[in-house]
Amino acid sequence: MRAEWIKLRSTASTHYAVGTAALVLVLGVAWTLYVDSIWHERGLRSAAAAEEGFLPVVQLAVAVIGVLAATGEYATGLIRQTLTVTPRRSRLLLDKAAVVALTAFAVSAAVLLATASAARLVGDYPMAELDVAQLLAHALAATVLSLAGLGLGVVTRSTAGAVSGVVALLFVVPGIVNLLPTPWSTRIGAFLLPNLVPQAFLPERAGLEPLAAIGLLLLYAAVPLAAAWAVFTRRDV
Amino acid sequence: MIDVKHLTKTYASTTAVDDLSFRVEPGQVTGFLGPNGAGKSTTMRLILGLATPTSGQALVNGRPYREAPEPMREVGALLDATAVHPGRSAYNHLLALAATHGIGEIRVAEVLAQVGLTPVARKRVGGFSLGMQQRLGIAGALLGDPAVLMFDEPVNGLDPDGVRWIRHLMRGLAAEGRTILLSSHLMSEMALTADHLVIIGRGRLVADTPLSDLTSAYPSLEEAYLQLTGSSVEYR
Ligand SMILES: Nc1ncnc2c1ncn2[C@@H]1O[C@H](COP(=O)(O)OP(=O)(O)OP(=O)(O)O)[C@@H](O)[C@H]1O
Ligand SMILES: [Mg+2]
Repeated sequence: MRAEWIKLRSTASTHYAVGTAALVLVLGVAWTLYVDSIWHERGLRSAAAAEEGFLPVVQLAVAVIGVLAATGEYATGLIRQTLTVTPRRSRLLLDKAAVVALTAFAVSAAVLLATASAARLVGDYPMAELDVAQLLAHALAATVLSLAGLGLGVVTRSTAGAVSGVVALLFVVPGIVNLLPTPWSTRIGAFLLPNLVPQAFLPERAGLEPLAAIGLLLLYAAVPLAAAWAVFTRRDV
Repeated sequence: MIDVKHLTKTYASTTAVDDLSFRVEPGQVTGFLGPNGAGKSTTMRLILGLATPTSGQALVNGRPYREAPEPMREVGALLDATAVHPGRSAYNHLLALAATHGIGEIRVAEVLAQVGLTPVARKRVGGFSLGMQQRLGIAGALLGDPAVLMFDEPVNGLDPDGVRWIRHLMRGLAAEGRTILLSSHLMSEMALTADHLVIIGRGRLVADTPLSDLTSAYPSLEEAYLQLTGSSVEYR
């Protein structure tokens, strides 16, 4: 596992992805100051807190970390050397998943907590109470997305392909489902990745039970990883 | 020791390796020769378990490579020197390989010195010349101090100094009792480096013989090679 950690931290792309996630802190503060300056005159009752608005940026950034952990090796051909020194493929995939998950969770939890705290420190406009449990759940969703990215990266062996898959999960499919006629858009919408954490925390809204929502969330990581395992342990490199 | 037994690998349209059997013995440099597309690289990938054979098997030290308890300490391989992450430094590249087997930083520094890359160890590999990448690949192969070593065209891109350096390195490693499988298209260099030759054409064994037998029967190794592979050259 240490080998995977060294690989992850020694590439510029990981730094960029973490940097993008961290940029959310700056954007979040800017957003908060901006809303602060206008909410009185516009008579806003409440506005989204910064960490909510920029959540997709954090999620996408850590998803890219997961994608690149796989496709970076395929694009360079390094995968052959990696599998020469660690021919046990299941073990290798497990190590990669563990390193990606820990990194994604640490990065997204840190960025979301920092952004939320900073927003409440500098902002006066009415926003939702800081809910640490919910923020950690969002970090969990980001982690799930990065594991899905890893799985898609292994299966497709293409950065563009895997990033498209992640974007589809996060934006495209929810966007399409939103366009469906009303009973269906909410019924199907309940099963979509971005809607799972809110359902776990706002049970009064009709939808999935909190536990079911979290379970389904984990499936979004488990299914791509299982697919990755199935092809990775059999395929020639 | 490497033991290739009736190894066959068929891709959709081509049979890359065709019922190939040979052994690579310790204590000598075995040259692996054959025209472009003969199946040398594919054979090496099959030995390393990177590809699964259609039939037959390859054993390293008596078992399939994938079952080796500490793979890096058994086999070192250089397949494609350009297959490195360009953004990573030489040092970090080797450190990540070393970490898979609990090999320490001291050993990393040692192999970097052995291949002459110490001054550029912290530089991005993306900026390396082909010769420097070959040296880095060799450093990676040596890292686990393995008894079996495989090199796929390591002389490619090296300057005359580097070519001679590889020759001495290979001879030295064989003299230490290691098993060396070395592929190359440079006949004159091979004649100076190898003790034994395995020649293949179109995936099939053409010759498995001591170098001296060929050089005594033909005017030169090049002549021997051209005559032996004449009928199996696919691309001209
Ligand atoms: N992954 C693959 N899919 C399909 N065909 C392949 C694959 N890998 C190798 N081949 C084919 O197998 C044959 C042997 O290729 P290989 O690379 O092993 O030859 P080689 O002896 O290493 O040649 P060279 O001297 O040019 O390096 C070639 O015809 C090649 O096109
Ligand atoms: Mg080749």
